[in-house]
Amino acid sequence: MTWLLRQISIEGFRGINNAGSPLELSFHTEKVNSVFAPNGVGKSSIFEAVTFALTGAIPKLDALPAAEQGGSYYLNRFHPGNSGTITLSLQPGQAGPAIDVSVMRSSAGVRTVTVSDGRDGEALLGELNREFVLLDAKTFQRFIDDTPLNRGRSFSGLLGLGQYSALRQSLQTLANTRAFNNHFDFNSKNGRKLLIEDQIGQERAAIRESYLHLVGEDAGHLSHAELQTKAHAILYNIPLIQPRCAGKTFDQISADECLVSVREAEGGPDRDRLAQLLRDEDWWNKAIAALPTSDQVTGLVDIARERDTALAQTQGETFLRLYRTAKEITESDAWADKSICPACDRTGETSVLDHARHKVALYDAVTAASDKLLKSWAAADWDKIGELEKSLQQEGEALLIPAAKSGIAKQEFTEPTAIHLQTRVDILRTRAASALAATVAAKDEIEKRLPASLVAVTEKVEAARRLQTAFTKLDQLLAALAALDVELDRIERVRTFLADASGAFSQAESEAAARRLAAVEPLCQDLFQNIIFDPVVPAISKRAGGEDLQLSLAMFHDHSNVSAQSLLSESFRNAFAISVYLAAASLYSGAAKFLLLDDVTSSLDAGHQFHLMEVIRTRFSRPLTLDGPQVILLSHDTLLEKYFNTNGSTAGWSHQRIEGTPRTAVLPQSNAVNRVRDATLDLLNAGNAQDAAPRIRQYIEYMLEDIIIRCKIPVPMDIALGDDRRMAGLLIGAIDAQVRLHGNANSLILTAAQVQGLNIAVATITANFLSHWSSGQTQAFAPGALLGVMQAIDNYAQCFKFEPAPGQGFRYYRSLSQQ
Amino acid sequence: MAKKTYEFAIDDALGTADNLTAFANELAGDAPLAAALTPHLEPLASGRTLDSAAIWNLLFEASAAAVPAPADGTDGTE
Repeated sequence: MTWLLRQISIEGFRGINNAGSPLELSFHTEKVNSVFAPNGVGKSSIFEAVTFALTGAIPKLDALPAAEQGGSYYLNRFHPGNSGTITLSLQPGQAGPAIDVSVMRSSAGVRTVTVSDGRDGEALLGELNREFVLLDAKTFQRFIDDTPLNRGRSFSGLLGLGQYSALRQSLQTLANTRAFNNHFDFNSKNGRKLLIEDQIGQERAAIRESYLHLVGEDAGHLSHAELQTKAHAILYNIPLIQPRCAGKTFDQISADECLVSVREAEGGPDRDRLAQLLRDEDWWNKAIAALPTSDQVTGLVDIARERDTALAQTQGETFLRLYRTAKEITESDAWADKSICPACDRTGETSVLDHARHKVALYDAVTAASDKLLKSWAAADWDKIGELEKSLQQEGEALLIPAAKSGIAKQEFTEPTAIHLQTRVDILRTRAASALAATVAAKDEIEKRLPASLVAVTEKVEAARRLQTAFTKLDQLLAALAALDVELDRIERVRTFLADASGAFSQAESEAAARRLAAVEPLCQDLFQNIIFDPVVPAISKRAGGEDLQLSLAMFHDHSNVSAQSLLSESFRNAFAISVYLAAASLYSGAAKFLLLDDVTSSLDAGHQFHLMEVIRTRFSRPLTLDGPQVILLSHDTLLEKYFNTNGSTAGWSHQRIEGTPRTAVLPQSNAVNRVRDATLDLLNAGNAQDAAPRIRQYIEYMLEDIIIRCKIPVPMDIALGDDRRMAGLLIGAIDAQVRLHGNANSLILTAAQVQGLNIAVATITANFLSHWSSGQTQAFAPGALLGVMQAIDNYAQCFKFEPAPGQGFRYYRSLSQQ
Repeated sequence: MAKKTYEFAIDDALGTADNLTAFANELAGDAPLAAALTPHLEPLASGRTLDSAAIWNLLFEASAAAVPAPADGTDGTE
């Protein structure tokens, strides 16, 4: 659905106070609209109000330093209501009822949007917020001066691909491997998988060892069920513990209960001690097996050193941003000489791009080494080693394993820490070997004291316990590995899905951009040609798959394929940008079928201003371009206003002028002249001469210009282009000169009484208002005298009217010489 | 690992909503993941703040469903 702008209503926002009487600017939806305002009257406030309505922000205020408190300047400082309201009346491009979208901002900065038909206002405004709806000279300047990448992104929006570009960037972010891996802890999970696989190997070895000890033969290729059957048979065939095994499977047999039977048969604490020593021996063996190999620890030290070295060559996050930006700029095709530094413009002997790439790569090396550390750490069972360290801890000795684990996670693991850890692992290996040897010696000592048969039973029972434990742990590990494999597969599936989706969308967007660019370029060239009328042909291009948008000149007089930025004057550069925007808006406008152009001609001379206006009128805007956009031009240029005035009297153009001050009110001069008059009289009757004075100026200038236009009174060119405090006086002088001329030529249509009335009115206006106004002596104004001035203005206008027949009402003379 | 290749063209004649629907349909080669991602396409295209972690988690949850069998009868793995 498309929308045209029927009216803007503003109160209490920026330079528009209008307390209780909003500035209402009506626009024709089937005409070119122009609004003229002298400097300081509120034209930019209108543009900013619509900007805020559509975007929720005024960039120039938000960009101010915090101390300036830009946010507090959104609202009019003189408005009593502590809020600002902007209402956009929108007319559907097709049939349908008009709607009012009201946007309010409170003094606390809270924004509220309501729509007359209850729909989601922010969503509608979001749809209307297209790149070409609000255009000013800065937009065009930025488009030309921006980096090709930023320009390309703006251009995507112009082509109606802004949302596609946003989605592509989002998909690319989702498919970013590093962030994705970090989120799912992918490297650690892979490291953990290696560890579990290693532990599975250890448990299988433990099963073979325990089985050999229990059964007295190698496990061979027997299945676990077969192993358990044979193990069960061994225990069952020992008479002493047979009752403990009867009716149970191997894993149900309790080693502790079997040992109770042994203890009951022999008695004494040595039996318990022997069993404990056998379990201790098993624990030490496993703890020693869990220790990382020398190669693993050396590898950890090497990676830590590699990371330290890489880190030492970097200079922190700020420099990383600097190098990335320098790389991005110098990689661009627009940066032809790669040896020129983008920061200082100096030319070096080597490539800045190569340097930036090298520096960024150094940071990448740190990241890569951190990842390697993480993976290498996860590949060893440090929790088990931590238990070993704790059990072997000597007085005054700090535990290193937990600290190293924390250091790895926080990326603070350095080479000295790694070397310290390496030494600690060696010490643990030695201490654990000693502890194991002591355990074995103690066990041997007890075994010598106990009967050999009971020793053998105890050893079988402990071997059976180890076998049971190994089977249980193996089952747990296999289950954990299966679960981890499923998890890793699912992560990989999501990654593949996102990578493929992102790639597919990216390619589709790139192809769509290429098609639309090909459509925009010839139209852009046509518009540019009709603004400039020189043998200059602009060209826009985008490399396949890239976002950069390059500007160039296909032809510049007799040169081809040359730099646009280097050759074009500021005005032609702006004309280039304007042509791009208008061409894109012609072809790819969305919900917003209207454009606000604020002082877009400021860099053009009078001739090119008129060319641009003619391009807009005849080749771009409705009504001459069927289904073209509705254009609303804002300008303070007095020369351009003459063009507006000329066209304003034609069927396809609507022109209005606004007057006022930020302190009181801004009002349209034409349709609202009676409101100006009434408001002025109200102020004067209330004794407020200061606020009434600017409105008297507005009223008198309107009335004088109305007389000049209606009675076709010629005025000198310098008055026509003037716009200052002397304007009213000059207009009265010009009218007076023409009245005297016709009087001397005996062709004056005014009666003698009317001429006398003119002189009386002029005397009052001049003495009580203009003499003070033109010199800025406004403190001399008295409300009573100014009420007389308002009456004199009406009397003055009345002298140029006649009543064709009694009761028909008064109308202006057609000229000073005829009714 | 599931092998999915998407071929998608943005149609100049269609609006964003239609194109996003077409894109979502194209992704339906992995229907569970497509169903999880589809509700986010419009917000992401509107430039709203991207909560990558939330979307990744949703996709991961969706990946609990089996990988759909490919229509061409191949085993769909690589």
